Order: sequence, then structure tokens, then C-alpha cells
Amino acid sequence: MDEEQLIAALKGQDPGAVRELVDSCGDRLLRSAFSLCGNETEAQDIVQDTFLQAIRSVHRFQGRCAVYTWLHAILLNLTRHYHRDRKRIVYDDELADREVSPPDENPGALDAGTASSALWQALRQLSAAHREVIVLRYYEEMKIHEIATHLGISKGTVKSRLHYAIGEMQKLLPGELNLFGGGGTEEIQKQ
Amino acid sequence: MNCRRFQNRFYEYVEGSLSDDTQAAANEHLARCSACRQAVAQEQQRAQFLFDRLRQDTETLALRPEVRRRILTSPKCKSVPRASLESIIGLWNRFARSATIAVSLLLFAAFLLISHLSGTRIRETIHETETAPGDDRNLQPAISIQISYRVPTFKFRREGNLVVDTLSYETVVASGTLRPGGQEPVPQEQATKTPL
Repeated sequence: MDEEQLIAALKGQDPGAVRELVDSCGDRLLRSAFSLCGNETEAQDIVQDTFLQAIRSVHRFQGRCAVYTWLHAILLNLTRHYHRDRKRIVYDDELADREVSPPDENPGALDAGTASSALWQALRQLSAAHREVIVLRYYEEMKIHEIATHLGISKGTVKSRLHYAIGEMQKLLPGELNLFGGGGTEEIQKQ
Repeated sequence: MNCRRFQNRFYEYVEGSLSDDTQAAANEHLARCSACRQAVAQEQQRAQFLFDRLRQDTETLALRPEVRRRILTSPKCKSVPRASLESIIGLWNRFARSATIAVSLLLFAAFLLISHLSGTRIRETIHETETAPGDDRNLQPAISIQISYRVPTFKFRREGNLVVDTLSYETVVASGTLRPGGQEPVPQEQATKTPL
């Protein structure tokens, strides 16, 4: 069933279509939600609400973007509401367990675990707006104009947010992770 | 293209969404600018690192069975009368503005009509009751006034060793007509006694 047929089936309230939608996008949305909010339980709730809202409003879907993009836009709005209600993001303990790889005799794997842990720590300290652009750019691999459309802001604002988000992460990450230090547009600006 | 212009197109260059001409100019600039080359290389490394880490750290996450079940069995998903809901929302979206304007106009017209009719009736009543032929001053309305008030009165009398008191009220009613033409109201008083 292609996307067009899937949407038609959803509009026809076909339960099989809902199942297919959940199968095809559920886990991916959950991972994105987890990257945005940092809490698995909250991410599960957000994804559940995303699907319910999508099913309710499927008749308004015009097919101008991919189904996943449409679902992700709903998810992003819900994530913002969750953040607004809670005022601040609270990451649960399971994140620390999840993000660090289990001990391995391979030193390279341990380094990856440390880097990963530092990355999540830095990500959780970003503002919601900065975290959004980081996740959309580097996790969802969206282009600048796609992020701008997705967030309803200008391309210039997207670039500006990316620039400052990377700068923030540069301050938050340890020096060993020099992927965020002294590079990008900042280095060009200095010259 | 100089560094500043390249910087403005930095992300588009890395993602490969520049037009052919701009892409060629950017490549030309990168060929002779090591700082921009380094920045591009670093951005590509950064993107790869973030993508790998975020993907690897979340790849074990899966939708919980109970969440999945709730989505598939939710009444919101199954029993929403979509057609009727859509029709109500659609009708509202379609006619809300015009309906609001029409109701406002109707209310305004009704208000004007009522004001006009009531004004005419008042004027007609005044004209019928107060107008005396040949007396222009009486065209203005006369106002009837009636005032009443109660005056308490205590009376004491002695009966043997006891003192008996009696409270009675006297109601005084005064009425008259106030004429704007300058005539004083004609008072007509009458009093009635009401023992308690």
C-alpha cells in the first residue's frame, strides 16, 4: 500500500490502515520523540497522542508532504506542549543507562559510550528551540528549507539557531570531542 | 565568492542544495580557502558523528505493546463519527462569518425598529393626553408625582399599676402634577391611621 492508498484508507476509517501506519512510522517517531524530550515514557505518550491526533485529523491531510513528515509535525507540536506544561525537561535515569554502551573489552567501544553520554548530556541542556534544529538537522537529516517549513520559520532563523546550538554544544562537550570546537561558520567569522 | 558569501550558503553547500552556478562558485572558493574547507570537513564529521550516535543510542527503542494497543483500540480512533463531525465543523467554518454578520445586522435592525416604534408611541401618548388646543406649552409632558410615607406615633396610658403603650402608624400620601412650564405641583394630601 503506497502513501496515497494509505491515506485514502485512513480517511475511510480502515483499521488495517491504522495498523500499517503504526508499523511503518511508530518506532521511528518514538526515537525522534526520545531525542527531543529525552524521556522514554514521555516519548511513548507523545507518540500515542500523535497517532490519535493524526487519525482524527487525517481528513485535513492534503498529501503535500510525506506521511512521516506530517506525523512528525504533529509530534513536534505535542512535544512543545509537553515542554510548556512541564516548564522544564526532566530526563529520567534510564537515559543514562541507555546512552552508555555496556562495558566492552574493546577500548574503542568505551570511547564511543563516553562520547555518547557526553552528547546526550549536552543535548538535554540545550533550549527546546536549539534541540529541535539539532535533531531535525542531524537525526532526521532534513535540509535547511525543510526544517524552515517544518518549524514555520525562515531559513535564516534555522541557520542562526543551528549556529548557536552548535556553539552551545561546543561549550558543553568535553575538549576531546573537538567536532564542535573551533569550526563551522564560527571559524570563518573569525577570519 | 568570498568567505562571507560562502558562510551564508554554508549549510546549503554541505547538504548539496545549491544551484549549479552557486555550487560551482562555492567550489571555486573552497579550492583557494583552507579555513572554509576545514569548516566544511568539520561540519561533515559533526553530522556523521551526531547521526551515528543518535541513531545507535535510540535504535533499541520500540513502541510498547500497550501503547500500540491503545492506539489501535482507542475510541478516538474507532468511533468518532467523522462524517457528522466533519459536516458540523465544515458548516461552521463555511458559514460562521456570514452568519455572525447576518445576526449582527438583524439585531441592529431590530434595535432601530424598536427604538423608532417606542419613540413614536411615547410621543403619540404625550400628544393625546397632554396637549390642550391652543396651548403650546402643554406639548411638553406633565409628570405625575405621588409620595407616601409612614409616621410612627407612640401613646402611653396608665391602667392600674401598668403603663400600656400603643404604637400606631399614620400614612401620609401626597400627590400632584409637575408641569415643566413652571407651574407648581398641586399637592393633595390625605392621611390614614394604621394601628399596630
